[in-house]
Amino acid sequence: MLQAVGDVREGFICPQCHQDMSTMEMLQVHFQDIHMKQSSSTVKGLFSFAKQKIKSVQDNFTNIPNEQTNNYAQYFSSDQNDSSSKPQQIGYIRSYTDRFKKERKAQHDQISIETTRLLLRIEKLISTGENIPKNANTKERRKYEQDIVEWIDDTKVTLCPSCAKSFSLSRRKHHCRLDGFVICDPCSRFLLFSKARYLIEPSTSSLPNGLSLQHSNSLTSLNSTTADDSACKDRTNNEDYLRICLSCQKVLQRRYDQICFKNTQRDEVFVCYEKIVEAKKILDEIHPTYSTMIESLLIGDTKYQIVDAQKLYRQLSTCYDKIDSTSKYISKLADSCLNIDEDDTQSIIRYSALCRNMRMYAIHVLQNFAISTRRVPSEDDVKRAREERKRLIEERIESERAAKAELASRIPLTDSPAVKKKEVSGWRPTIDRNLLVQAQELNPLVQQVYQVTEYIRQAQIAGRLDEVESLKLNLKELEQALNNAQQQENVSTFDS
Amino acid sequence: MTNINLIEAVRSYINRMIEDCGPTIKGLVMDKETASIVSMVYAQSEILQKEVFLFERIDIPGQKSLKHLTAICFLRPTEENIQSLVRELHDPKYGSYFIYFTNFVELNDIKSLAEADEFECVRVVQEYYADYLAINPHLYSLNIPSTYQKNYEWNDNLLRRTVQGLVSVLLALRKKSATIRYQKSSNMSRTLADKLSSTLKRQVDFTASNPNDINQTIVLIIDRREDAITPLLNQWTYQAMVHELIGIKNNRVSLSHVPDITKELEEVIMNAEYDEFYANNLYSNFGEIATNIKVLMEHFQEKHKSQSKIESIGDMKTFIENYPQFKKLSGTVSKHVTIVSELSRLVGLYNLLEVSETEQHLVCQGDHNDVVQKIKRLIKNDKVRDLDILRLLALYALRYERHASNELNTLKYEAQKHRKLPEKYIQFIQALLEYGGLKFRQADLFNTQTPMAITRQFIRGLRGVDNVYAQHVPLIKDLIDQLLRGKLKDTSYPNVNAKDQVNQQSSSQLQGQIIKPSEIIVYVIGGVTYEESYHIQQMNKQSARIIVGGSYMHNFPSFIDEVLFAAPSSLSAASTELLSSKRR
Repeated sequence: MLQAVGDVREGFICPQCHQDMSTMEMLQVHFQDIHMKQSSSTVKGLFSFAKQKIKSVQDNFTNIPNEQTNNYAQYFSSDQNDSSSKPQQIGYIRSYTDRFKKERKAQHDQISIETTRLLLRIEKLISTGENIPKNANTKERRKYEQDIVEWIDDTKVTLCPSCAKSFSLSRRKHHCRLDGFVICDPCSRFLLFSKARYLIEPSTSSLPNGLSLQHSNSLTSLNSTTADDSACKDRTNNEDYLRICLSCQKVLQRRYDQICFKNTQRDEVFVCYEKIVEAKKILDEIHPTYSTMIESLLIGDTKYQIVDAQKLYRQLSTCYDKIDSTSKYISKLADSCLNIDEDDTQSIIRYSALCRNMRMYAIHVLQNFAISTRRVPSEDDVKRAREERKRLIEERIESERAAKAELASRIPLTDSPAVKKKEVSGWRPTIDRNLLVQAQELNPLVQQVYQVTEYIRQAQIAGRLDEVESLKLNLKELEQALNNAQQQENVSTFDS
Repeated sequence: MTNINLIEAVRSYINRMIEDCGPTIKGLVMDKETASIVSMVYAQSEILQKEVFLFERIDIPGQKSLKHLTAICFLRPTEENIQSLVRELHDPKYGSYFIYFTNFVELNDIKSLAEADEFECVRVVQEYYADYLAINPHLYSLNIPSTYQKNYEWNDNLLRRTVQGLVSVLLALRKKSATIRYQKSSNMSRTLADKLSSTLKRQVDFTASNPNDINQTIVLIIDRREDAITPLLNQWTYQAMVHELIGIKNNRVSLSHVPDITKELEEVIMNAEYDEFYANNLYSNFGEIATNIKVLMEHFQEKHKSQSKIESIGDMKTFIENYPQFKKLSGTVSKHVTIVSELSRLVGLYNLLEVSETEQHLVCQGDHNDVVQKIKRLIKNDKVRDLDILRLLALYALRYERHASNELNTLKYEAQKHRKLPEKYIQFIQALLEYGGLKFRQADLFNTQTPMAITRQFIRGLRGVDNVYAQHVPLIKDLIDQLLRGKLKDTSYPNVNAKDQVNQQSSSQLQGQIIKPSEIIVYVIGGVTYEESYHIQQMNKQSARIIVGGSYMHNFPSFIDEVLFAAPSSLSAASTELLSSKRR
């Protein structure tokens, strides 16, 4: 039975008969079936047996679970391309943006066609050419209007389409000047010419009546008769107006809102915040240069001067101050809450939260820079650092020389004159005259190759590893040139 | 090996959202649930660094607009949220909108949003599947305190929410499909499994081409009713203990009831992502924490000494450089010292060591007479809380439900005699038997039924109980062990898709050939406990790849509420009254 089970693992060995079991369960069954029954059949006996054997059993069973549980990996399929090293990828995402935009476009195209149509008509209706009749001249004006927009035949209309009340003597029929439909007076809206002009060209004309945009986010309040006082005033004000129906009014209102939405003035906070962003950008730019500068000054490098560092430091601290002061100003704005009604507590809370958070953001930025910005070292510090560095360099040169000397002394004597020379004036390759003589008849390129090879050998002996490298590069180039030359030679001989 | 991390999954979604908006001033608009989802994985100060300056709730209307802010709307796709968004778009408070839904959104809703967007300020509409609370890398919750309706059935809303939660866990971890196995004895788990499976199949974009993929994710759906004892036990690992004795809610711990507490420690945040000590000690037992906190304090004192000794400018500089860490450390120290000393105060005050020992004994060994004597003794002990007596009575009721000489009534009587147990508690015992008694339960919770289980129990006993307070091993671990070894019976835990072909032959064949899962995702209807989380974490430490979650993170008090809430009406007539008074 036991043999049948493949994949036998270590660790499931019966403490009694040392038979190897494949799994925890099997071992348990085995143990229970064979050994426990052997010694006793009663529970009490079982316990006393257990107590006797507790040591060995305990040892085994405390080990087994450990080994068994040590690795669950075997139970899980491992990724083929072991993604453990890779960071977890972001989860799935599904985008509806395109669909959304398509839907929106479909919806808006309809409306914008409508809007453009109305705006075109308005433009004609409100234009003030010489031969265009004024509102005062009722008859001619009406004819002019009907030329632009065809009025529907009002004889068949008995009910006002918007309030569904029947027309009568007291409820007279009127025509919307923009689409020609019939409406009753209470359902009419009145669009002032000045307003209409604003709708057509929001950028050039400004709103009359001293009404700023923020306060008049409704056209209706100005041109509706339901808001009797203002409209009546407007009508008596002698300013020209157009009678329009509710549906046209809705379309125009929408256009008006959109203009307002685009032209909202920026709150002071945002202007201030932009300053912070700007300053931060400069900080981000300068800071790495500054850090390397300080670094290099402190190790005694002469690449930069203290003055440079000081200049940058001044720049840094200007930005720093700018962020600090601007953000402080912003946090002050939180208390004043300009442009917000005092009883609009929600907006006040929101606004001040915004300001406070900006300040916190700024503080954090400042902290980061404060921690990572080191002060410009003093002259003395730099001087000391430079001297230290000089000393270190000298020391190194000294030790290199010593090393060289030691090396040289071990080199066979043939090179001894050269070595001696080195000791005096540093390292310089020498040319073996014998070789030169040998190479005289050779191609100059080949001569060069020989020479460089010789240099390399000498340089190797002297321990000048970097020289060896560059010489080897030279050698390669030379060999290449030689090859080319030989090939050319071959070709030319061929030709002739 | 383990590269599945629930917290990281949510964080990367949020990071992506913020990056997508570019470097402008941003406001994060959330609903009640997404606000908790975000707060579980991101500290506000950290989001602030990414120029997110406003945190708002979609359900709070009527504010002045700030057109130069960009809104990141991170919302669940609920009807109310869609309506709020439509309202918002008609009168936008922000200049532009980046809309992210946590789950599948209806095309109709997209349409109505598109129609509402008169100002054309919506830039992006996407689904980012972060629709669960990530508590630890391997632990999630859907934060549904009461899953069960009367007679243990689903309510449509909760079922939908649960399916959404599970789908989002899968998609956030880049799993398109899964083998779904469920506990057959529970109607709720079957319904959930079916619904989950059909939902995954319906999503054409995400359906995997090959259902017999070897790299399978297994979703295991379990009903809490199968193991009603785990939530009854006192806990001794840090995270579990804090939840059991003080209570963790969305990583927040309220310490306002602690005697002489300072103002700033009344509510502390316990987030392992930002708190190294906590991260290292989530799963340490009480003894270890005491040692570790001592080390932490010594370290702190050392730092403190060096900090306070500022003599030169150099010292000053190092002080300033180290100050942020120092401040953080001091916050950590005072927080954990407060919590640990509170825990140890409670342990002493309520005699919890003895209580817990008895609980473990009752669950894991259980000589009947011995147990009864111990409980009787504890009932008379004035230090022991009523709540802990209830634990013992409840455990006893489950353990000896069909025992020949069941003395539950005697014990109840004793308890009533010596202390005035609230009516609610008495009802709980009855409700619990309905909830997780033998009538429903299939699993051998106390290892008393089969000879194999008895042996296992015996061996566990012999193993030398290295910690008498942590002998109990939750059922969930056994189930997963069986699942991994291919021993989880298809008859009790069937596979949703294999259901149609209930061919005995094929199912036994399937059983023979174990398909190795790439990972296991467990969902417990009715909530999980930190004890279960601890055991799963221990397995994951040994290269297992298991994620566990449930409708709620339960401790005993919240479990009492849920069980009473779900109790059949005959029992709960009076209890709902009590509950409603308690829940306000």
